[in-house]
Formats: sequence, C-alpha cells, structure tokens
Amino acid sequence: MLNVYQPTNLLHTGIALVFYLLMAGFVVYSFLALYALNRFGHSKLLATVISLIYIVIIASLFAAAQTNLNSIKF
Amino acid sequence: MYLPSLKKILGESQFPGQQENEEVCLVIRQHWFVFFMRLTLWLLFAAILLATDWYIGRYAPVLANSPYAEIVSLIKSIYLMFLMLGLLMLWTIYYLNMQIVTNERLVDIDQHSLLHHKISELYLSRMQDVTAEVKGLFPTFFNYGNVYIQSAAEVERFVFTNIPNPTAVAKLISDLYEKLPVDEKQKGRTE
Repeated sequence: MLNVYQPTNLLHTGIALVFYLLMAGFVVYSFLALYALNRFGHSKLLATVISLIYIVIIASLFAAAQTNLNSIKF
Repeated sequence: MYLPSLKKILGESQFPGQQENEEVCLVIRQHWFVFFMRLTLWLLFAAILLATDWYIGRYAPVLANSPYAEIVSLIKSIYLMFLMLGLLMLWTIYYLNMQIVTNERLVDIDQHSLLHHKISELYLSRMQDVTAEVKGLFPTFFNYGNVYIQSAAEVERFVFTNIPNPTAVAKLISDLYEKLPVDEKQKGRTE
C-alpha cells in the first residue's frame, strides 16, 4: 500500500512543503546533469550505465528521506 | 587517452564534426589527479555526515531522541542526496571536458558547467607556436600541466589545461604540424 504523507498540523505542512520544494530543485539539477552526460558524452553506453546507477541510488535515498519525513511526530 | 581504432570498431565519428578522412591521433582529458583533488573536497563534505553523528553522540545527546532524531535523519538523508548529486556533477564535468588532436586540427571541448558547453577548434596549418608548461609541486610530481598553442589568426592562445604529459603532447602537435604539406602550411600563414 502506498504510504502517502498526510500532514496533521501547520508545522508538518510547512516541513513537507520545504521538503518537496527541495526535491523539485534536486530533480531539476539531476535531470540537467544526466541530460548533459547523455547528450555530450562520447560513450552512450557508459552514460546510460552511470545514469541507471545514479537513479537507483537516488530512488533509495528519496524513499529513506520520505520515510524519515513521515516518521516526524510533534 | 584511448585508441583511435575505436572509430573502426564503432563505425562512427569520435566527436561532432569529424571529417571522413580525419584521423584521431590523441584524445585526452584532464589528469586524474585534478579529479582526485576535487573528489577530496567532496569527501570533506561527506565527512561532515560522520562528524555530525560523532558530535550529536558526544555533545548533544538530546538530538538522538525523538522527536529530534527523525528531523536529524531527514536532514541527513537530504544532505546525502545532494552529496550524490555533487559527485555526479563533478564526474560529468570532468568526463565531458576533453581535447582531441587529429592529423588536421585540434579540438578543445569545454564543459564549464552543466549548461555551458563550448567547442573550439584550430587547424594545424594555422598554428604558430606550441608551449608545454608544468608548474607547481603536484604537476611536477605527477607530470601534468598546460599546453598553449598560438595560432596565426587568433589573439588568444588555445589552451589544453591540466593534461597528462604535456611535453609529449606538445611534441606530438609539433610533429603533426611538420607532417603537413608545405603548401598547406604557407596557406595557413597567409590567411
């Protein structure tokens, strides 16, 4: 079952908002880096492998961060 | 550095704008020590995470208990994500910066930032002077430095920055220039 974050008060909402804004910026920068690597890199195979490894690592870290966000209780 | 025979294996050009009969003699990136120095700086930032754990355990144990522990964990997770992004950006910029020496010209591909990509080229026939420079403790020890190429037309010099074995690269460029047909050299000087 999808663990959706549901803010319970204003402080939670604020923290969630800051978190998702940071993540939005993070995604934009990650996309730019991966785009530059795949667009200008000589070896497409290497660029693809690096991109996949990066996406897997970041997906894991994002899941951990979201779990930490959900576990915050005041 | 890698072998020009890669072109034959892949059956495609090794860089944008490569001519059909143009032979790639050398492909170089900055010396590995330059990347290592940047990586060391990145490792210092990564060490902050470990230092934080040590500091909290020793001086602020209250942050190790709920509800602060969850907030600290969240901040550490986000910090780690940005650290990984920093590592990707460091490597990408290092990887995309390259210099190519062919039997006809020099191509300098610069990736200053993620959105700043520059390709400069200089025909060997227009070349006037090549200088290799190794300056400083680490460059001398690890044998890396700059190669400056002065062209006939441009005021600014063409620079290969922090490349391994700059003396050999300068010699290779000089040798390639010497191999050019005489009429092509004269044509380059008069242009």
